[in-house]
Amino acid sequence: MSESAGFAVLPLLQSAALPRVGGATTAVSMVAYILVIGAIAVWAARRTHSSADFFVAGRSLGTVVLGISAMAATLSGFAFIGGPGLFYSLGATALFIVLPASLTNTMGAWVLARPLHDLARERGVITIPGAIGARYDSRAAQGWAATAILIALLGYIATNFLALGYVLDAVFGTGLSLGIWIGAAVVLAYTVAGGILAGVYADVFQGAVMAVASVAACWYAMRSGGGLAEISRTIMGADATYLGPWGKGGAMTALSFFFVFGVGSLAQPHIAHKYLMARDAKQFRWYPLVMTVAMTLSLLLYLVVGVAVKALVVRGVVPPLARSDDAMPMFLIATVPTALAGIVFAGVAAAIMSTVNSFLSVGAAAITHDLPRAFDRSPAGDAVRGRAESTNLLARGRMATVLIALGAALVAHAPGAQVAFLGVFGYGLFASTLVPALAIGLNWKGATARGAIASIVTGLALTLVGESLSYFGAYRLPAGVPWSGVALVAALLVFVAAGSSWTRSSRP
Amino acid sequence: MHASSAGTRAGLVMLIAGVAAVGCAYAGTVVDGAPPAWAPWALAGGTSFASVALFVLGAATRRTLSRGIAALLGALFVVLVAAFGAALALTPEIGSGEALLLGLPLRLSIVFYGIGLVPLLILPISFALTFDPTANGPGDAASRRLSRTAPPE
Repeated sequence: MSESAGFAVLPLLQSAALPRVGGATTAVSMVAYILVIGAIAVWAARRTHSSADFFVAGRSLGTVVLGISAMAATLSGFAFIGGPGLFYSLGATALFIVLPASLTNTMGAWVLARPLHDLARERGVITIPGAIGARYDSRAAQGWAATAILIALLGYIATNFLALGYVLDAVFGTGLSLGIWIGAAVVLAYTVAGGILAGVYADVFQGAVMAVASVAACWYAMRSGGGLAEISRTIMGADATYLGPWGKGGAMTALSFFFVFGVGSLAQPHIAHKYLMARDAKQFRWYPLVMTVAMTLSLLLYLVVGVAVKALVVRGVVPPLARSDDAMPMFLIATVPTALAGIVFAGVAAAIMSTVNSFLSVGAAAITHDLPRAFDRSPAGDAVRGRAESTNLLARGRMATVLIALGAALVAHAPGAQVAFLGVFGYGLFASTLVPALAIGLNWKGATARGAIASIVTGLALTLVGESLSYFGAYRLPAGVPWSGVALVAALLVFVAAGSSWTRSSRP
Repeated sequence: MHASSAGTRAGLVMLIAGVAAVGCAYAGTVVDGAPPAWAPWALAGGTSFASVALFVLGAATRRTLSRGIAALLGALFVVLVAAFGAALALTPEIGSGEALLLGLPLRLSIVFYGIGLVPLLILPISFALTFDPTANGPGDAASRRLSRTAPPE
């Protein structure tokens, strides 16, 4: 991606086949991983009796489960496949996608955790749109937030199913289509059975797999390259800008990554949703530290593998890659034992499944809870009322989960570039539609429902129109300016302007 | 003015200023068709300002915007701006002759270790040490006002 190509997010998404990796050992590792997930699903299914169990894990989570679960949900397959590939092709520019994590793990707890937990405890809120509805006493705001989330997450889930299909094809030789359906079936099985309760405890296991795979891969990458200093000297001799401070993408692209992935981190509904699940407010004290340690370990692979492969290519040890996404498979083939390759691929599957599970829960809640609330007469964002409604909502939640997964799996069968195009909306759309209404609104008494709705609509329209213009080649912003960044800026300014001038009647 | 309200107002002003700077950087780039020389500086400063502003807003809500926290967030802003600024200002040395610092070229090293590692443990530990599980925020106020009409589950 060059500066002139703009802030194309397509390279962030796995949209082409991976080289075949491993053999019996790799396959056995993957099968063992899937069996453990199945066991967790059975355990969680026996403990899922109400909609609160299904959507917010019975509000029972402690610090460690919260932190590791949030980390596992944050990192998708991109961290293990697309990220090293992006690092291989763009150099230090790719660093600016994960660099904000030094701030954002704490920022989320600092800005969102307590206000959301308060709403969950006192209003029985079980969803992020529900929290927005309750904050502004506005069913319309709740409905718009749910709509934005649904639009964004369908493409996001589809891209992850596609990536999972490629991973299963690379390990088992299933072919892409069968790989997509097998992957979707595994995620669907444990999500429908145990809801988010299965998801968060699977996340803990998956997070551990990701961390182990990442640390081991990092160690082999450093060893193969002769250490970080040697890797740097090798690359600098061949390509001066690669390890420049902004990499090959340039300053505008790198800094835009930092802005969108930094500020935008506050609006990822699958992460914010975790704050509704805490047992009590005390669980947040050490949550940022747990998440930070877990994420740092899991990102080592992202940081090192791409540059190590680049150094190996410069030295002629490995032939130049046909596609940047081959960086990780090529690294596994060239430098690590097959047993570790199996663990790393299990780590990739873990990263994908943990993210998809969280999105399925968020999407199911939006369909069964938030959109109906937007059109009925009950107070916005309020709690589920009574055992009958809870049981009914649980059944509808399971059905909605199946429908979303089937829809996303079908979308994943579209040509790779089209699926990736849909996935492009994801992060940017969450950021531009939810940061103002959620992150700012929960911390500013002057915020109004009109401001919230105006900012959501602004972010939605600008992101959809801008990314569509860019995808179809009608108009691209120049020199690293991202549509998602523009939409985020516009939505924030609209939110503040509307909140300060239109009305103050909805102050809490 | 209550300290918390003042903190919220300060956070909002910082956020607007930071976001406006980012917006100006984007607008200047779009108008010129290429980034003006000042655009990366505006983007770096605006991003740093907006990030710290969010911490200020959160601290004000949690009633923890003490002088210590204010100093911490001020230091965070200095680290962000100094690291980005150094990367923009320092003249690159072409080729393999550029000095290494902790295994990376100097300018990348300043960004990576300055922004990526310095706040990594300081922020979560500061959060834990100033955490007050009994503090109330606007979420509580909204909840109390509205909970009269909706019984909890």
